[in-house]
Amino acid sequence: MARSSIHISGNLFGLILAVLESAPLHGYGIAREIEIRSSDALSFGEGTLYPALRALEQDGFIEARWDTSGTGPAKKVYELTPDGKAELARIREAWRDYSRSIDQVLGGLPKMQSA
Amino acid sequence: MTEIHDIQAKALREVYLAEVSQQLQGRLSPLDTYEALQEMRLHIDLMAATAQGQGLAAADAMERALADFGAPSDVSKPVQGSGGRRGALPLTISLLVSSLFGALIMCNALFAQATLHHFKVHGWPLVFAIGAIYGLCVGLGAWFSRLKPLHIGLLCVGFFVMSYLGRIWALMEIGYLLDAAEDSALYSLSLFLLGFASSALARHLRAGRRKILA
Repeated sequence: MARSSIHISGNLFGLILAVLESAPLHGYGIAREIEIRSSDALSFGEGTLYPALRALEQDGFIEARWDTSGTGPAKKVYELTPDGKAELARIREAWRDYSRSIDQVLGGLPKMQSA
Repeated sequence: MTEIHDIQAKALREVYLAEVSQQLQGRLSPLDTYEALQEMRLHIDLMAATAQGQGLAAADAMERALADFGAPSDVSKPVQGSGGRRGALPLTISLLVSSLFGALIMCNALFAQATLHHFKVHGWPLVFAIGAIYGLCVGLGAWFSRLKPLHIGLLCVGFFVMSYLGRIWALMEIGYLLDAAEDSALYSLSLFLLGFASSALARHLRAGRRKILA
């Protein structure tokens, strides 16, 4: 498993919510989906997903249920709630503001017009 | 030989999970700890299977999976801004304070009514007992992430309905006593509304405090 130098640290909540937006997934599935969507560019200790998932569940942003269908062992599947969707929209907005500001400093984007 | 590797891999995994379990104790209920370990066990097994698919022996694959999974301290640590004990403490305090405040206001209004003589005698201890029990239930519920304010609210509403039905039944002589029960149910309902509002506010503030960047 290739590991790059980009560590997701405090952005894990947003990434989890974004991944769950398209479909309910279990912990391993969430980790793989982040890996696939980032083309293997984001690294994190996969075990750190679980404290984050617990926090998001306690805040009501995701819901969990045990999936006993299928042949393997039961899996805990997580799903986005309406509150989670709103939180994801807020995180996206905040991230766009943040990345726009960083881009301006780094010179990646043309300067923003001041209102 | 393969069997020895498998046993060795499972032993490595269980030692790791035992350490995680030890660190989760006291923060999660036994059931939550069990469920968390089940989830992690499955995740680690899938990671190890992937590593084995790349040609590693079972024990080596498990070692790599555990290394990628993270240190037990990282896996079991509470996330800042989450619920759980740390997050529940301010919520508990705010609920207790708001409950007591609500109880005081309502007592004050109640004692102004001379008609509720029976409550005048027993009112103070009763209202404070309800406030204390309510605060304790909500606090403990939030603490162990078991009872949500909504559940407490439903319990209060249930109590209210039961005492109301009881009052209808008690058109006989003991109606006096059941009047007091209905009053106390009304108070518990009011306390719930106060607690629910403060809980919702605390939840909102907590969620807002979480930043998207570390």
